[in-house]
Amino acid sequence: MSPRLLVVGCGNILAGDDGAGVEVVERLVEAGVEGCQLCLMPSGGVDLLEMFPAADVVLFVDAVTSGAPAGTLHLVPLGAAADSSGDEDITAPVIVRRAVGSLSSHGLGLLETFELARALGRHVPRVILLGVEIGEVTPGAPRSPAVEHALSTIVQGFSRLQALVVDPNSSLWRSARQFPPEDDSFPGR
Amino acid sequence: MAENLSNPGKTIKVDFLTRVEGEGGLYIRTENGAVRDVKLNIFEPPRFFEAFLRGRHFQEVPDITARICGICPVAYQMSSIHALEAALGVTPGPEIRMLRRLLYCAEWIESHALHIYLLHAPDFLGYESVIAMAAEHPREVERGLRLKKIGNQLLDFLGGRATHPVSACVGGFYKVPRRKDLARFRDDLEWGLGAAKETVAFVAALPFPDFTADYEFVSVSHPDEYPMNERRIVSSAGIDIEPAEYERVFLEEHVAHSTALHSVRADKGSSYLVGPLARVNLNLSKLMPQAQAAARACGIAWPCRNPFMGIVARAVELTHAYEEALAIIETYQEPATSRLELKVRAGEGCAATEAPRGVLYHRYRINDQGLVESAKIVPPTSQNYRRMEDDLRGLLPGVLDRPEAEITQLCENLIRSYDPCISCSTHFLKLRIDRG
Repeated sequence: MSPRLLVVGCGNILAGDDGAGVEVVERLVEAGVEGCQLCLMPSGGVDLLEMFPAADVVLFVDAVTSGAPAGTLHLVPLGAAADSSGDEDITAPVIVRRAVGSLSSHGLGLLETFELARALGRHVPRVILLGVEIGEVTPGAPRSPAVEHALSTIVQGFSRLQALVVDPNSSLWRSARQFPPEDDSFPGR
Repeated sequence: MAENLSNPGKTIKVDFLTRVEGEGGLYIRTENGAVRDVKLNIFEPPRFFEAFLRGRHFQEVPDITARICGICPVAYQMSSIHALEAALGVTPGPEIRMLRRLLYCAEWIESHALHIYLLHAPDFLGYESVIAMAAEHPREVERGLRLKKIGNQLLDFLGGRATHPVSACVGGFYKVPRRKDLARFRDDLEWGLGAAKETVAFVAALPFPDFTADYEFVSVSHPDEYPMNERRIVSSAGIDIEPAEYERVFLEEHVAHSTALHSVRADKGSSYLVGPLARVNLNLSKLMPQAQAAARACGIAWPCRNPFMGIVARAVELTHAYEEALAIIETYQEPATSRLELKVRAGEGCAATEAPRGVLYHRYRINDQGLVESAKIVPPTSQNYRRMEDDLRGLLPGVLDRPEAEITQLCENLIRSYDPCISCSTHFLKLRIDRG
């Protein structure tokens, strides 16, 4: 049986490029993509925990900011299944904790949710972050052209990406990778 | 990290707030062992939305305002709906009113359970975070998660989707639930009511810092109900006004050190407190019977003036929300029509409702085409900023001789007790690319 893939889109579509993750999932729904469950989670966070039991692999699509040019795509594996050796660090060193998040209920992020699932002994699926490097996040701003182009890249080649994501032996799971806007090596491009 | 606060003439920045650009910081200056200055600056998104709303049709407003906050979309939606209904001169019937309260109960359940168990309890139990707490208190954390999940499911069902509900609209609901579908929540809500009462006992037994302040508590008030959707605004200092008078009594001020506006009493410039502690203190007798009994039996004397005990007020309200949600689904009758027919007219309206973290005031002016000409949104967090600074000024002198890590933790705990709404309209992840 092939792994159960859950694709989660995160972000606010009214805040410019911040809505990139939500937009990807909405376009995949429109395109009638099969073989995975598609879901929107505008705020991300701890509610992901309730979705983990239904998935073997989670592709988490979100806007990211790293200083790379807008439209850059990132694929960041966050760890192995819980039944692996157990000593593997499933947190991704490249994701910066939202320090401010610890102060309010608005901030339990992807990393914290991941660690909480493990601390509770819950099923932890393999998670890979598909990050879309953003430019403009002002509420009401239109999406920037570079991000728009990146979204098309993801959606058009999604079947190839999907095949790699569900394959535990694919190179995607070995290390974090970055694909600048002009880079043709993004899966499916 | 905070520098040593006990040294004379130190300027310190507590950078748990400043590591993420644009999200703010806490600045404290001490001189000869005394606190000279406290400045709290937290990014605040709703202001951007006020401009964004201008020119929009009024019926678009609830869906837009619901996206201001990922944790309290119902509150933003409800304040805008009530304000716009006031502008249009319509009042939906009792069935719609109860459904809106049910929606609000779901949001309080979700938000309060999250805050109590995943954010604030670890402070008192000596854990850095809920992740460390989960290893030793899995039962409590799982209870918190289940309490929250039920709130999410109810919100999802009523609102169309959990995070940004879409079914409520100006005039009523786009679609109302069937009675038999709501009844399916009964078992979960009954479990939740019991778990919420356990929560009150659990948090009331936590070790609280010994600190009290002289607050003016402010909340929405209704003659017969615990405050959620309507309607007057009252305070422990004797304010009792219609929402239309809000901007005369409360003033928003620009302060040099913050991008957020800070609210004060317009007449005397003093701070005030909104949120669960203010609500319970002002409305104890209007809590549902089991919630009220839990509040009275938990060992805390109300009115309570210790801000750290806000976690107990949240647990009492969690109980109330479960109890009232159960009562509503028992008596719910499907309305004959889900929404009123609206006759567009030019007008202005305002409303205050109770977001999980306090009074949320909206005012809108619309033209005869139904387009928004002006919007004003005063979120609870901006009303609490000044009060947070006052609390820090009151708390710090008594603890300056303690180790800096302890002081920092105490400041964090205090700010967390307010559950400030921080930069919640965007959610992007920050990546650090380490090329070795």
